[in-house]
Parts: sequence; C-alpha cells; structure tokens
Amino acid sequence: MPMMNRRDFARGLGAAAIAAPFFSLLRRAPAQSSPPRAKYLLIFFTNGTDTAAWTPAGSTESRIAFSPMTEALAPLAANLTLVEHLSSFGTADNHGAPGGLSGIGYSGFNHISVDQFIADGLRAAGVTTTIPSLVLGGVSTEQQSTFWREGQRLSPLFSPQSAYETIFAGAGPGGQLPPEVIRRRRSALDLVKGELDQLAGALGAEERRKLELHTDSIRQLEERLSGSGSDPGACSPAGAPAGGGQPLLDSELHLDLAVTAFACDITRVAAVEFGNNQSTQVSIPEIGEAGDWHNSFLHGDNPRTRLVNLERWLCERFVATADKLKATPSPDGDGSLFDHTLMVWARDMGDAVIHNGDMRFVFSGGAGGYLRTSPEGRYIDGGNDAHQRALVTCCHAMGVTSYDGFGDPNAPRTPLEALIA
Amino acid sequence: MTTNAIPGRLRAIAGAALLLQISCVGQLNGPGNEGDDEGGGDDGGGLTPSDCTDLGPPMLRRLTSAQLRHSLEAIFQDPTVPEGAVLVDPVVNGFRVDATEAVIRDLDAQQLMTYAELVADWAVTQKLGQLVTCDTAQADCRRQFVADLGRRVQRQPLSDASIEAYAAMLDAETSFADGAEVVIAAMLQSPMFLYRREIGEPDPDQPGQNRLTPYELASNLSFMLTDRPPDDALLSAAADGRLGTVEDLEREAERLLGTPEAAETLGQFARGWLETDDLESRAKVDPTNQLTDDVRRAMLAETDALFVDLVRSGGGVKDLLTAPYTFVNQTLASYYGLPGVGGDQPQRIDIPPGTRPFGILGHGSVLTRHALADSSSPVQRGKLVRERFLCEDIPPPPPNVNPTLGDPMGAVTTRQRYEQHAVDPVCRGCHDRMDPVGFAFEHFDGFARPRDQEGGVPIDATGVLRGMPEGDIALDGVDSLTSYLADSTAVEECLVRYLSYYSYGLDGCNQDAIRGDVEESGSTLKSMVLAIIRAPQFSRRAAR
Repeated sequence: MPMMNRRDFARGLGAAAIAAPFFSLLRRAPAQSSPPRAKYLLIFFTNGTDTAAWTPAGSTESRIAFSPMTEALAPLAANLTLVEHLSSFGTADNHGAPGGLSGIGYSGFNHISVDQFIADGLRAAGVTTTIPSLVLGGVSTEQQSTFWREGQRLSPLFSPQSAYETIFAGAGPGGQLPPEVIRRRRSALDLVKGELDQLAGALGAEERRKLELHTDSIRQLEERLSGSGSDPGACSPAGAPAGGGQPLLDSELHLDLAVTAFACDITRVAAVEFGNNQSTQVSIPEIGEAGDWHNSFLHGDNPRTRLVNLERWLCERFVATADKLKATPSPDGDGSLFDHTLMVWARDMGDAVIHNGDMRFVFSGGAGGYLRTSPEGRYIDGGNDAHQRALVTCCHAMGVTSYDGFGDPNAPRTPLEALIA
Repeated sequence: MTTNAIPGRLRAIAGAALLLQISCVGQLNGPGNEGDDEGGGDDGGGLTPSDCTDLGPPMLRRLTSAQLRHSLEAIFQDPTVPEGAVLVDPVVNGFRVDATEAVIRDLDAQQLMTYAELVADWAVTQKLGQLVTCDTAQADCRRQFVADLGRRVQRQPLSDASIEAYAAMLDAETSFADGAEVVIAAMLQSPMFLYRREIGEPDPDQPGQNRLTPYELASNLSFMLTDRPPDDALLSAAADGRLGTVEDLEREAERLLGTPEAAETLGQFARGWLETDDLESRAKVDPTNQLTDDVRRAMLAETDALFVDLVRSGGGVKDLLTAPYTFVNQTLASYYGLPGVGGDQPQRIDIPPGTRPFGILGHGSVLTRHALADSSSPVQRGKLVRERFLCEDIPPPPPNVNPTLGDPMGAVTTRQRYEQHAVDPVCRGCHDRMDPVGFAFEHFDGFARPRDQEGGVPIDATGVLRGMPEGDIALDGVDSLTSYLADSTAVEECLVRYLSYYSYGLDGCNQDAIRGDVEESGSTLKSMVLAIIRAPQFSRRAAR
C-alpha cells in the first residue's frame, strides 16, 4: 500500500503555503444569510461496492426505486437522498484509497479526511467539545483507516470497551472527578510535558513532530480535565459494551457509542468504519457462509449474493442508528438528535469489483433542515461531477464554509446544490 | 490486492504505481525486472540510493503494544499485570514495527493515562512489598524506590533531576502508597518509557556522528531480538561499559538469540514476512471442519519452529527452502497424515518422502493462508513468491478491470479458471508474473492438503517463473520452484531487506553493506541478524 512519508508531508506543507493566495481567489463568496445547519455529523464508512447491484434503477429526484441492495434503507425514505455517479478523478479507485474521504489521491500531500477538516472548522468557529472528533471501528489486524490528518492515516479506536472508557469514563463531562484526582493527573502530565520538551531538544524537526503530536494529545486531555465536573445534562451512557472481537459486530456497537457521545455533547463529529480495505473477515449468519469481504464477497462470488446480503445488513445498521438518534433528545432540548444530525454513508472507493472511482453516497438525518427531502426519497445522478463536492456538502451542512486546505483545489469545491433544501 | 512490499518502494505514489502497471506488461521477460527501483520513481518518497550513506538522524521509536505489555511484565516481574487496549500499531508491510508511523496522538494520551492509573493501582495493591523493602519513612528509601523503579521503566538510570522530580511528587502525597501510585502512573506515561531512544552522544573520534549510549544500544538489541526491554544482564553490561564494541554486541546477541523470547520474536518476524499472521482469523469454508483452530495454530508453530531452528543452527536461505525436516505436533501430524507423533509441542521429524514438500513453502501456514476461503489461489501464491521472496512489486489491478474470474465452459480445475488471465491481454501483463508461479503449488488445495486431481481432472502443476537473471525458469511442482529459489541470491537479498526493515523499522539504507557482511560471514540466517547489528546504522546516528 503506497504511503506518504515524512518528506512528502513537509513538501506538501510548503506547496500549500505557496499556493494559498491563489486558492483564496477561487473561494466562493459566503452566502448572504446563514443556511440551516446540522450540529452533528455521523459518517458511516464502508468498503466500495458492486455498483450495478447498488444502483436504484428507475429512481427520480422525488422517488427512490430501491434496488435489492438498498431497499433496507426504505424506512428512512422521507429523510433519504442517494447520490451516485460522482467521480473521484482517480483519487479513490482502489481498496483503501485515500481520496474517498479526502479528495486527494496517493500522489497528493497533506491528506485530511472530511471529518477531521470539519472538526477543525468547528473548533475554529468556537464550537468546542471535549473530544474534537471520534474515529471508531475498523479492523485491528489491518492497515490503518481511511481517515487522515496532515497526511498521516489515523487509527480508529478498535475496541468498543476501550472506546467506551475513553469517551465516557473519568474525564468526560459525565464524570465528577474529585479535585485530588485532577491535581494528581495534572501534576503527572506537567512532569511528562517537561520530559517531552527535554527530549525534543535532542531531535531534528521530523522526529520532533512525533513529540508535538504527543504534546497536543496531552493538551486535549488537559482540556477535558478542565471541563470535568460540568453538568452532565441529559446524557446517560449505558454500561460498557461487551465487544466480541468480530470487527463488523464491534462497529455496530461503536454506532451506539457515537450516538451517546452526541447525546452527551462530548463530540460533534463521529465516524464509524465498517471493515477495512482487504482483510475483513465476516461471519454473520444472515449474510451467508463466513468469508472475506474482499476476496470472497467482492472478488470471489458470482453472483455476489453475500455482498448484497452484507450491504442489506449495513443498511439495517444505518436505519437502526437513525432510529436511535430519533429516540434521543438533543442535548439542548430542541427536538431529537436525528433532527440535528447529518448522516452520511461514504466509501473508500467506487466500484470495488472492477476497481473504479465511480462514487456514491447516502445522505440522511434531519441535518437541521439542511437537506432537501421528498416523501419517497430522493435520487440524484451526479453525472460524473467531482465526488469531492459531496464531501464539501458535509462541510457546508455543518457550517464550515471555507474549504481552503481541503481536497483538491483543482477540482470543484462547492456543495452539491441538488442536496440542499 | 495491495502491494505489500517494503516502504522504500512502497511509498510509491499513484503515478509510480501506474508506471508499474505498465512495467508488468513491458518487462515480462526483460532483464533486471527487480521491481526495487521502479516504485521509487521521482516522487522522492522513498529512500533513494543517495541517502544510503546516511546514518539517519537521531530518532525515537514508540513501543509497540506488545513491547509495552512485555515491558510492564518485566518492570513488575509479573505476567498478570492488567491488560489494556492502548497503542495501536500501524500495520506496514505486514509488520507492526514501523518507526515512522507509530505515534501518540489524539485520544492516545488519555488512554495511556487511564491505563497507567489502572496499572499503578494494581501495582500498589499487589506488588508494593516487592517494589520497596526499605523503611519508607526515610527520605533515602523513597528516593531509592524512585531510582530503582525508574531504571526499570526508563531502561537506564534516571538523572538526579528526574529522581528529585519524582521524589517530590511522591512526597506531596499523604501516604507512601498514595505517593508510589502517583509516581508509577506518571512514569508509565513518560516519554522516556513510551519511546525507545536512538539519539546518542557526540563521538569525539567521528565528528558529525553520534554514538548511541550503552543503554540505548541495550534497548535496541533487546527489543530487536526479544521484543522486550533489556534484562538485568544487558543493563549491567551497559552500566559496566561492556557494550562498547561490535564484539560486545555480538556476544549479547548470541546470548539473547538462545532465549525463548527470541524464538517468539523470530517467529513473529517469519509470520510478518510470510504474511501468515492472520491465519487464525481467516474465514475458511471447510465443511469437514478439519482445519480447526488447533490445526491453524500448529501450522504457525511449525513455521516459527523451522525458522528459529535454522537461525540457531546456522542454516541459510537454502535450508529454509529445502529443509527435509519439519516441526509438527500430534494435531498437525495427523492433519498432514504423518504417523508417529504425539504431544502438543512441535517435534522435529524427517519428512517422509512423497508426503509433504520440503521447506517453508510447503508449510501448511503458507499454503492455507495464501489461498481463498474454499480453494487454492495461484495468484496469491505467486504474489507471495514475487513480493516476499524476490522483493518485487505487484501493482493493484488497473481501474475498470473486473478481476473476478468467471466460470468458463468446461473449466473444472482451479488452474483452468485462472488460465483466463493468460488469455486476456489486460490481465496477462501482471498475472503472467504470478499465476504460472502459483500453478506450481496446485498439488496442494486451499487447506494445504495434497491432491492428485481436482474434480476428477489430474492436477497440472507445471508453470514458469519469468524474468529471472537466467531467463524463464520452467516449473513443475513446489520442489522445482524451491530448488531454483534456494540458490538465488535475490532471495537472500530480499530476506535481508525484510529482516533489516523489521529490525530498524525503516526500509534499509544500508543493505549493500549488510549484504556484503552476510556474504563474508557465511550467508546464514544468523549472519544476517548479526550483520544488521554490526552495521553502523545500528549504533550510530548523524549528529544534529
């Protein structure tokens, strides 16, 4: 799997700095009145699919004619838009490609996935939560996720138990920590920071970068400690989930954690990855005989019955999550979480059987009224427009409207108007 | 399919990958089809030859999750230290040792803090009596506790300032137990614990160069060979100035190589190199349920054992590929149909002629892992040979090509289905490098079981290994492939490259030097390990 290395990373920074004034000329003027906005973003992330089986043939902009692979999404129709035939322009035409969420291919620099870009944008706009963003799920035995930051792949929190502890235990707003504990933690972290500074002095810039990431991670932790003791509000995390170690089933548990994290307003951005790239083993009875998502379901079966079953299973997880969001009050008391959440089903690539970047997305959620809706669902043929526009739509929906630093500046960086109410 | 080769080439970019696709077509029979230089292209992404005189800058390597676990077990001398899901190890090239990708970021600090507190609580409850034996009412005793624990945690003596800082932290608490708990939690979050340091000190004899400190060398050696922190003997050698020379390092390496921990670590290398590490969790469609978890584990243990045996006994690549003996327990012997083996532990047996192929490529682990859920896979097996034994790159299929094989009329055997690749000109370019190599394994199904026929059709295990320096090598069965590879210097060079990556966490800059050293010292597997340790990159860094 090709990767960026440190030199690419440094070079990318340089290139971005030089090009920045030019890019800003291309930026669109901000809208006159602020559009309705989503407060929460939930990215449901999977491998590419068999596009022929996915396509809801005969659909229109006001009605989805569901394919067998997508029909389990039907209960969400009134809040559902399926978009397909968006082109990745070569950035996402193979398994685990970096462009699916970043709009940038292997040859680019400074990949940042849309969730991270939005989290930064929210922070810059003063929307601070104790965790800037969550990346959950994936497969621990595989390469890292398709989520990126500063040109480096991010590791999801694989274990639901560990994720639960990290999100909700101790330093979270739900935890009421004794002052003694906070004092001790701060004193340990002060000592650690001193040692990090000392070590950094012996290193060159590239290696110092590792310690900067570490220091930044501690800074985030300290912010969480500062927030400790605040009003937990309506948030009431259930007990820790008991993950069984089967990656897809664990990801299902992670969806619940993401919903609860929203309910507690611990984060505004969460991504849950189902499977990763090429080595996800699937053993779920309703899908069929156990097999390998890549080798068996995508490239082995003909017809791809197990892939259709797997995608239907994923649709059901998507719908179940929407139902949980609907059943959960928004932390600010204004309706349900669903009303304020933008749900997006994104993928690493387009057609995973024949390897191309013919991308498709599922948009759902109340999204604060941002999305245009139709009682029987909406279908949009993207006509080979840039898939990056779907990613930019997520930014726009979340109120992050300056796209500098995201995606490929040579591809359009405007939201897809057809999606917007 | 990914290109799971090593980073220098791996850090190839999309443009370079495209070139490679073309190269599959263009260089089929051409000379020098090594793949090594192709991926580097002009992206500047990998280590280019001009970099290769460099010693590399001072660096840090974050402990892997296994190393963290092993370190805690060593610090507290207790295997029951609480588990924790902290530190994810990026999988790069099939290994989890990458020096560049492993970092601490985002929520890691919090996870580490929570885990450190959990371990500290456990240690104070369970181990305090062992961690301190003096009178903790005395300040000297408390300082001694900090110094002793700190030396084990940081793998080197603490500076006086550091002892003072931790002692002050301890004394700020109302009881010794509380203080000890705070200190343990802090030490386990320390970068001096979480990173191995390869920084060194200026070498007055070699201006511009740092020589790693004896403690840094002790850590490097120990983590490389045992995946664990240095033991008392190694720390003593560092303290007493007995790690200063190449001979010192070799002496300690020889000692460590004899330990069970080294055997485990060498086995882990073999699993990463042969990409068998996930064999236990691979989905297999096995209606007869013969491929039990026990069989899978025994298969991995077989390969581990042969690799370790050959490192220790002075074997080389040739032996690895052609050893007429192997290591099986009762479960695996029975699976293989070999009589007369009892017990759970792998036992060395001579392979009865006509039963299993000789050498590592005939192992159940390799044949089962490099197969599909319900059949063999000539592609995967051929790719294994190209990438892991010859260090060539195989690019992913080009866009808009459906790699799913159909069921052509009259096709009965796996081979007949894969032969479609040779017909289709789009597929042929790359698959001609893989499939005809994989066909040589067709006497073994996707479960490593021998077969003479498939669906009533006799097995045809003929094939060809194209593009070798000697030309195309005709194959018929696994033995024909291994007998060619066994004498190939390319295989030896490739193994050195993987071993070097495993040891340094970086794609080697120094392989020419290491290869020269290996050749001079007898081309054994052990000589490869020792050459990596003797190389200047092991003990020196460019001064900042």
